[in-house]
Amino acid sequence: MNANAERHAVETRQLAKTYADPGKKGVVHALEGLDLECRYGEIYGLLGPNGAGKSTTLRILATMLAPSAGSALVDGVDVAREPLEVRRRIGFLSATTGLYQRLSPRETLQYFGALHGMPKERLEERIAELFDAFRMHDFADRRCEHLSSGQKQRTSIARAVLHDPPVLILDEPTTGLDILATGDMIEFIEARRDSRRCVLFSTHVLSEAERLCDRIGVIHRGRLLASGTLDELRAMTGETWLDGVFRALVKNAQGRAPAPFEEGAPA
Amino acid sequence: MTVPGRGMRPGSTPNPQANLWRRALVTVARGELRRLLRDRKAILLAVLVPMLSYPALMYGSQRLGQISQRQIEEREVRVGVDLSALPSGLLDDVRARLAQVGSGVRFEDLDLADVVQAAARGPLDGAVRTRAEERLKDDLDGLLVAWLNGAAPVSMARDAEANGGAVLIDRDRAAHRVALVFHRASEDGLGVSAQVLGPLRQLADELESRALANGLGDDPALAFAFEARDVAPPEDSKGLALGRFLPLIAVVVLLSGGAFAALDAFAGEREQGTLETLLVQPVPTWVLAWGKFSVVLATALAAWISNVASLLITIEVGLFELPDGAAAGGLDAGRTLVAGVVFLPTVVLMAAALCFLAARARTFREGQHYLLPATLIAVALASPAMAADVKLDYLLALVPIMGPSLALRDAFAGVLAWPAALTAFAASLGWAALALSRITRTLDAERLLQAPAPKGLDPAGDAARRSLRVGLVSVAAVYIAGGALQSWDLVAGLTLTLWVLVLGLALYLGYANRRAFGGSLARALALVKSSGQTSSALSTLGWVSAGLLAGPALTQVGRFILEQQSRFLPLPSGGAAEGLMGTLAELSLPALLVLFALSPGITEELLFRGAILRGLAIDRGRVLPALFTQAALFAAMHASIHRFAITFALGVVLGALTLRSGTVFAAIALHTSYNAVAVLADRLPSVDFGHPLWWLGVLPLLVRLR
Repeated sequence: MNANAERHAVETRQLAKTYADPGKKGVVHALEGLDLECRYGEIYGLLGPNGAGKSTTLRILATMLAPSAGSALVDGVDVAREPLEVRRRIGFLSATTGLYQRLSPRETLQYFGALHGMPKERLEERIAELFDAFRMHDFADRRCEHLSSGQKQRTSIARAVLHDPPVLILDEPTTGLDILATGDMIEFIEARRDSRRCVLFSTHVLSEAERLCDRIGVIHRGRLLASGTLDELRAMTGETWLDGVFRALVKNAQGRAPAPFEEGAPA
Repeated sequence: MTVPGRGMRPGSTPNPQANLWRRALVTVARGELRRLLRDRKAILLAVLVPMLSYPALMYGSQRLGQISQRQIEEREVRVGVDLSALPSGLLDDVRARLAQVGSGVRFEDLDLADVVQAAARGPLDGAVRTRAEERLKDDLDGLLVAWLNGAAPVSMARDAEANGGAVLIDRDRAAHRVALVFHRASEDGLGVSAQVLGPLRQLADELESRALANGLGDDPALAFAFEARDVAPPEDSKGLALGRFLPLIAVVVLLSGGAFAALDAFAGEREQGTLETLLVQPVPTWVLAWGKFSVVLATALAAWISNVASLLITIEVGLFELPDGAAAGGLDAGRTLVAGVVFLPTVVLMAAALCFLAARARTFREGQHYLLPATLIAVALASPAMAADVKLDYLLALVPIMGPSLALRDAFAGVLAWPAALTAFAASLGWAALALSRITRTLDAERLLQAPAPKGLDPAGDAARRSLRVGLVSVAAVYIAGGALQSWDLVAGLTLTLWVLVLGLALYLGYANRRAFGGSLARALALVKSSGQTSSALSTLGWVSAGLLAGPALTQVGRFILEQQSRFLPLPSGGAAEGLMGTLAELSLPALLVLFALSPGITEELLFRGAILRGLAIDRGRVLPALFTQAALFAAMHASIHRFAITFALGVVLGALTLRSGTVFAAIALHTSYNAVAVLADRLPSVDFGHPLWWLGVLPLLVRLR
């Protein structure tokens, strides 16, 4: 249904976000004119250091924050104009996402399914499907507070794809996970690659990006420095490994862009 | 800034959509409730433990009642006396006894023939009550009447019959009866009974035993039967006794019962990391917020109802005795209903307030910290209902929690003044509606998702925290060190306190905060605008003159506040200021003005409106909380419960003036002028600072503020 070749899965135009901060000369510019394009059928990695604006971008795309300027379309729907429609078309998961401690995985999925307005029978079918896919039957009715971190992880993932969204937005999904859980997550992301779907995820782990991403966008201080396949980025910078590519791009950018943050005033 | 989806209301959406949202709201509420009910520990602590602790609470409140009884015994009351029916010997005995009663009771001889006649006709019949109540309204708090015991033989015969024929000695033998009539539902009535009842009862006993000693039936004319007649109907006495402390219990129970639901629904959601997930569901924010709010409201109501039930059972079982004379038995259903309805909007308001508080907290624990001050404020607002002589009027009716609390008390006591009660009801509906209209904001993602900056990297946040700390230290330092200095030598102590302690704290805080203000001490002290702009000398002069002119009007506002407050918190007689002026009579007027007007004007303003307010207000533009926090600190520094309201109001006015004008000079001028009026009013009694024309002095300020 979404396999429209003309349309991007995610598209932002001159996206900007400023936070009010009277302590530091009025405002902080978290994003300054970001242009991003992600296609259906691809896994897109947003790469950048802490504070680069990755989370802000993904939160705007997930309609949690409103853009200060510019526009963003998700699955062809404008985040500012039809946020509820956008929310029906995305799954969102971040490193800090938690679970209701006193609900079981089954109840969690039932709760969010109901919020999505899924009909009861369809919801139960879908939950059974997900329990199969993520091997969750053993702990489906145990309270989340008693689950292992891997089990929690699988519950969170199942929750994010419960309504089978065309666009999946993952904000640093592997941060804080142990090796096994990280492996599960990477396998899951790979398994989501599908001609009618798109996965957009942010990370600062270069190896993940190298392994998973069809295309990579490098973001720094609220701007997209470069975007393309790993090979294209290599060609662009003349570096072989992603960390070299990344360093080269950042160094290049720092040479020409003024720092958006004022350092502490001299005492 | 707007979170998409906000502002939509059920009425404005098409029907299928509305249905969808209603279902989502129920889903949210049910989810909240399910998680809540699974938290056994919380339920135990928030609902069961309070319910079970009523016996202890009742015991404690009875002890408190004994303390207030002592206060009642010191009340000044007027008692009308008509003892013309007593023979002279007996009259002298009674008079002698009355003379021993404390000086708080004034006896006045009156012609109370109508009450006497009514009283003689029978015990506590309708006629006595009506007659007596008419008299008691008449600025009298009690009536002491005597009559000839014409009904004695009949009564004695009936008693003899009832006792199996044996004629017992009883008071009906006495030829005279004396009755003390009072209304228990008023504090003054209680004061009369506490002070007069005892001595007269004692006299009656003594006379009776003297009569016994002299032989049965020797001279009944020399004894009298004494009785106390409470003209308050029993349901009034009981209703008042309950109604006086029900508002307080209501406030505490509602807050503690609802708190755990609110913390779980808002702060807990943030702490667990489920909030993000919730905010990306295809459901408008208002649906989520209302779903959560409805659970908080339901929990608060459930706690309240179960607690009232427990309270009533405690009373019925007899663990708690209502004040003597107030008979046990069911409460009047109609009164209970009225009281419940009058208080309902307040329940909604408090549930909404809990949601706001909980939504501000990042963690459960942080939320609990917010709870104590909130509870104290609510208790303070509800507590005037404890005093039976604080009357519900239109002004108090407007105050949230306080108006409905007074109305609830009066409803139980059966003395509800309907116009004022309806005002209280309407006003509290308004407050509740205002709170509800903002419920959606509790889930404002823009605010909730802003992560706190780490320490050191956030000069604004550091400055705000430091300002609060220094503010608290200032309060303690001025209270302890300043108090000690001034008791040593008033003039030197005050000078030292203001120019060394207060000014020193202001300079220290400004210096420590300067990094948040681009390194400028002048900006940190609000001597120049926060943008760093220096205002022109002319503009500053304009602010100063405007501030000076507005002082007398502000004094009038202060006097109004004190007048209103004195209705439930009377000022101690012989105001502190008068005594102060007396001891300083030898100082010249200019010296007084410098010491009491200019010095506090400059130093206190630099500390509170300069350093502290600037420092507090810089953090993420939280201007209103900053304004009220510094006012509270300023009021606390004055260390007087009687002056808290007035100094708090003064702090708000001066703070708002500083925020609007950009610098602290206007506040310095206004503070100086305000204090100067107090000094001048004492020294120049010919000037009438209460004249309405002084209000013209506010005009320049209003023009400048526009």
